[in-house]
Amino acid sequence: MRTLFLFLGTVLCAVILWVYDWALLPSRRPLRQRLILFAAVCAAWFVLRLPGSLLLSVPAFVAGNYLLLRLGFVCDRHGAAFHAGFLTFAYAAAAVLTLLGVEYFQREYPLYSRDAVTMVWVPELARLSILIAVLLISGWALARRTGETKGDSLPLLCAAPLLSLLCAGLLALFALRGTLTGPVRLLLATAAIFLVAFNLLFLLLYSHLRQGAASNTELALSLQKERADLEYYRTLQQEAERQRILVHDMRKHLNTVRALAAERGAYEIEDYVNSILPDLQTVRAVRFCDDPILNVILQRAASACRERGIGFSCDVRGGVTAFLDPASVTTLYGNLLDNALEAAETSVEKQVWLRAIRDTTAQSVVVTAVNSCDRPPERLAGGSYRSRKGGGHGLGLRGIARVVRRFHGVSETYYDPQERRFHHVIQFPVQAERTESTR
Amino acid sequence: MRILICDDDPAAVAELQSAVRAFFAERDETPDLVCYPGGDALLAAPDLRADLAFLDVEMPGTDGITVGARLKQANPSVKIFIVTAYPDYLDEAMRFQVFRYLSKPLDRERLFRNLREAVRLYVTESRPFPIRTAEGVVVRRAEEIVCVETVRRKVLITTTAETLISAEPIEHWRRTLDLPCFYSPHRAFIINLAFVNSITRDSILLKNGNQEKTAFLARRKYAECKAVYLRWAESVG
Repeated sequence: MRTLFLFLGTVLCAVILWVYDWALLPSRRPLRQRLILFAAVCAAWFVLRLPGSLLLSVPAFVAGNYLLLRLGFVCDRHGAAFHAGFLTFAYAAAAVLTLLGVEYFQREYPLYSRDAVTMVWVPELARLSILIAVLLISGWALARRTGETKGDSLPLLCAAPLLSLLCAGLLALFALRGTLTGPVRLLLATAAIFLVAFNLLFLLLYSHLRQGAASNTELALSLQKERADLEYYRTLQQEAERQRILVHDMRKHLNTVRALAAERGAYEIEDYVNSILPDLQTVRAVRFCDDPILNVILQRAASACRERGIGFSCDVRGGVTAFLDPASVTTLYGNLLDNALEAAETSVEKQVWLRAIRDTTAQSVVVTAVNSCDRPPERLAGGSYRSRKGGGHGLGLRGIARVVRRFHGVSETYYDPQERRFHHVIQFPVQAERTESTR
Repeated sequence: MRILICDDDPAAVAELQSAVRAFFAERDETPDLVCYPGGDALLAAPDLRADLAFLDVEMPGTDGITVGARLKQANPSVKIFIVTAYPDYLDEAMRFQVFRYLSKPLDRERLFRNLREAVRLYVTESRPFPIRTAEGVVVRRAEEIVCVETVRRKVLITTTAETLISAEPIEHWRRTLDLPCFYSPHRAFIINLAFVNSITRDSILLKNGNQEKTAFLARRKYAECKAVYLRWAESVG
């Protein structure tokens, strides 16, 4: 009977570990190899638990956990040590709590020390409670990894800390009861303190995971916007190219028509063609810089400024985007201009300046976007500026910051109250062109 | 300060001349202002010295871009303003460092702002600093000084061409190099911001063409250094 309990306990242990590791950590090996690894470790545990010595089974449990984490999952040494230690501690804590519960309800505490079967099933009962806790944690962790929050798991998530707080309260109550012996009271009090501490720990962990999930969602949104913007500007660029070819062809055709008309004495037609040819010249799009994507972004910004009555001044020199990929060009310049235009639109002066200059001596690029702005933007505690849009907006500045980090740049924003202008200055080193940061 | 204006349109020359004179009159200064009716005339002049130059792009004969390139060759630190009625990007002009583009008709406020920046940069770059060494006194302009550092109780001044051992302590240089382009990121360093390539939390990489030098940055000074550098870069860029 004892051997059967031990076997079932080991299997349960393996299931708990599998759920825990799989939910928290990315896999390092294929599923089949991980299963073999788990089976081997569990077999070793089973054999080492047979003598019934804690001195043998506890270190085996810690070592097995550590090995599984290191070999089966992407986990560094410290992480593996932490998780192995945490699981062992959780097992021990759960066993003590179960034991105390049994003692309280059945008043058979000494039975534990005499009966070998009880010695086995009490920890297994504790493991079942751990399995429930692990399932709850894995729910959180999976939601974090996939960037989704499951609304239906919220009652469970709330129930877990409430129940554990209730348990902590009960333990504290038992500890205060006069009938218990000194060491047991001490144990109960310690368990209650640990339970409350764990609650606080999990609260912090949960908050951290929530922040991580929110940040991941934001990043996904930002990247989606980046891709959409790039696609949009590419389409615009193609459209402009088609228009350029069309105008070029039309001019050629009109020149031919004019020559034919002159040859056959149709001077009215010749005069008419002469009058419309200059109009075709004006259709030609302004070329602001040598980067096709940035050129389209600047053309769009110039056109938006014309429509909204904003003065637009731009000085973008050659080679300022040579070290950036097209998506980063779109994110950086598109967002800088969008923010500047939006702020300038509500100002009295209505002006936007963009300058991007490459310094050949220091091998750096300095990008400056300045816009008129009647009121200073609100600063947050961290020094960054609060987005006035709220909701799912405000991704622009974060997108810019991401590009700055990725290409080892530095940036600075400030408001000049005298001139009532908002400045955004960014500098990039350009010694490593087209290479991304590993940060 | 010697300023050249080159444009085939006499009205444009007159307007620019009047605006530049008005700008310097506000500062109680009288620049040496020379006007040319075209690129050929300017290049034929015996004296090609210039601190600032305003060049029209489309001129009969030699165009403004070619003139600019020649001027830059003769005066590496000249600040060239390209004045053009065409808003198009000028590929050729990018080969030499144009200071600013000005569009016709002239926006006087913009011209004055750009002139202020050019003059400030000119003053900064051209100020001479005598360096006392064991061999004698060497004079270097601010734009030639890359950094000043203390190495084993010696004060080394790295310039664009050589490294000099100064007889003065670093505190002397902290007081003397009082231009906005100089910054002390660490007690053992004074750097010229014009040579900054990248800034990390604890160091600054200075580049002078292919030569590199790393200066220490005190961690508590990171935010300040970043702000000082970027504001300076914005003002001169």
